[in-house]
Amino acid sequence: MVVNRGTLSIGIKYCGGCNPLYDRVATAKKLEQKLRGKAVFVSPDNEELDLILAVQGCSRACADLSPFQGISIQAILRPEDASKALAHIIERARTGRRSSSEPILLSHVHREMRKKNDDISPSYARLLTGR
Amino acid sequence: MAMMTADQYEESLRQLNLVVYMFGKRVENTVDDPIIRPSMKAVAKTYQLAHRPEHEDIMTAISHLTGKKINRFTHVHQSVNDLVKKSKMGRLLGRETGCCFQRCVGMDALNALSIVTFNIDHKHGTPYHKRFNKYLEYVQENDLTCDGAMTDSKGDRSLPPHKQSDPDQYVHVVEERKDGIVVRGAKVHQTGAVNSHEIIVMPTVAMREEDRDYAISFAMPSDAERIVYIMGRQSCDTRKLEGANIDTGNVLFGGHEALVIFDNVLVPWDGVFMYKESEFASQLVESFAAYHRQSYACKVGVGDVLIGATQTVAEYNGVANASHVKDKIVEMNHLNETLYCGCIACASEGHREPSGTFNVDVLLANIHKHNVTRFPYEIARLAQDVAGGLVVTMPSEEDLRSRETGKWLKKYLKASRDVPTENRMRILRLIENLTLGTGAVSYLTESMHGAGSPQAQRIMIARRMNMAEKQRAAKKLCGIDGSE
Repeated sequence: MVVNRGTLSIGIKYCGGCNPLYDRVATAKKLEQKLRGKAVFVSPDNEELDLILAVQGCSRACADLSPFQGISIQAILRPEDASKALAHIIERARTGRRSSSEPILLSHVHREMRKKNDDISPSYARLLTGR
Repeated sequence: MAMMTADQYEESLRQLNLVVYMFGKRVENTVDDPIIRPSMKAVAKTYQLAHRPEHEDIMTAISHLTGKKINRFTHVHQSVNDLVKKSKMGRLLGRETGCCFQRCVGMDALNALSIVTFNIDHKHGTPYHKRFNKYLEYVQENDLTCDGAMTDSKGDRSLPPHKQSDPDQYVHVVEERKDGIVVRGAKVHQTGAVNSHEIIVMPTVAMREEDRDYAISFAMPSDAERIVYIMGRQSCDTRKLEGANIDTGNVLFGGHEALVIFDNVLVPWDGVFMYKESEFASQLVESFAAYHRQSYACKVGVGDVLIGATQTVAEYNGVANASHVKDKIVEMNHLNETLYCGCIACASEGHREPSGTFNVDVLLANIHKHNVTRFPYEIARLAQDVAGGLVVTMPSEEDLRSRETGKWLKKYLKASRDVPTENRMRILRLIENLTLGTGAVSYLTESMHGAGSPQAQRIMIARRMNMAEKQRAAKKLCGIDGSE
């Protein structure tokens, strides 16, 4: 997808939705509508991403974010988080910079991910990470 | 082809040349048959959701063989996280279909074989694991649905396979040829058999040396020559032929089982994964059973549907605020989430096998399935309690549509002022479907006997309950001599 300069490219990454506590897709769609002109939602597989919007169905927040190391993550765990995410994204689109309150994939998140994948074999880990 | 879409899956079934019988007649087109089609749609859902961004995190995995994204139903678990996602996938699909979506049994067969072929090779120097991995790659690359066929007809249950008066009561090899083996016998209760591209056969009981001709496992196309399918009946099945849809309860999905006959079927060697290594039969049975007992996570999803239906009918009837009704619905949730605890626990406590495949905790998988043999019955009882007797006395959709009777049904079956009578009839029919109609086949009786009847789980629990540690702890705390 071609994204205009000045428009944020946001990769939308959902958890698997095994038992979500709210309608994740509707929440994301509403957010997308409110961001029209400022951001476009694209596949998280897209190579050029300004931000990942992680839409988690519950506080377990199990969406696999490991492919997005170094990319800013804005998480939604409940519908109320959407307005916070909206404000952050609008600010980001306006300034072109990460706001100080915008979380990125922090080291403790990395640690959690490593823990989650601790049990996998080295060869499978190489397959997953491409390294 | 990496992952098929639902449409591609349906089209792929049309290319099969299955020999299927139902009501004594050959079914030429299973895909469009009104009784079978809802079950095909349930399997198709496993393909559809894998392509949806909001479900791909659960529905897909990365193949450890190719590094490609695949449907999780063709994946061999590479971590505890994979096992947990499998349980979650079961709940998701159970809730989305309200029935058995049939595809877990093949996944469980693939995982069990990935463990056991490795172990047989380690002992005997056989080529099964390499052969199996080649087959697995084929399944993954083509995103196939596999029927995992374990349960033999068994004949006289007091006798082992080789002592049966009819030797075909267990699937066995009748001829060994240069190009493969010829097998004969039958597998019963085969869920989703005619919606499958492949059939994976495994032994059904532990075996001794004398049973070696029965200690075989193999895979082959479901439409191979001389395989015959005879469809099982389900309670209320012919309602699907009536044209109206309210009375089917679940208007979108369903399940099916079939009796599968192997009438001297040739199995090429490249599909043979166990051949007369009788000492490994029990390992394959137990490994498959443990995975499949975990798979009853799906009943939590179906339970979600039944609980949702019960709350809805309580609201439609105007009794949702009655304290005893609220309490019954809390109890239904308690039972359903207890089931969920079991399927998550056996996955979270999983471990790596020598082959690299991750296996569930066998004790906890058996505990989970044992709960599944009980709790859905209580959930169903509570659903019928809250719904009321109209579940079984309500006139048909035809009567609702009739010019003569429709006005009376609309008048006398109306409850809450804001709810159309038709909606009340629909939700009651769904409860009927799940508690005594076609849906009850999978939600109740399959919960009882699928993946092994309750006693099979009690045997496994008895074997693994670690009594010595429990006794040590008890003796220590009450000061019995020598326990410290």
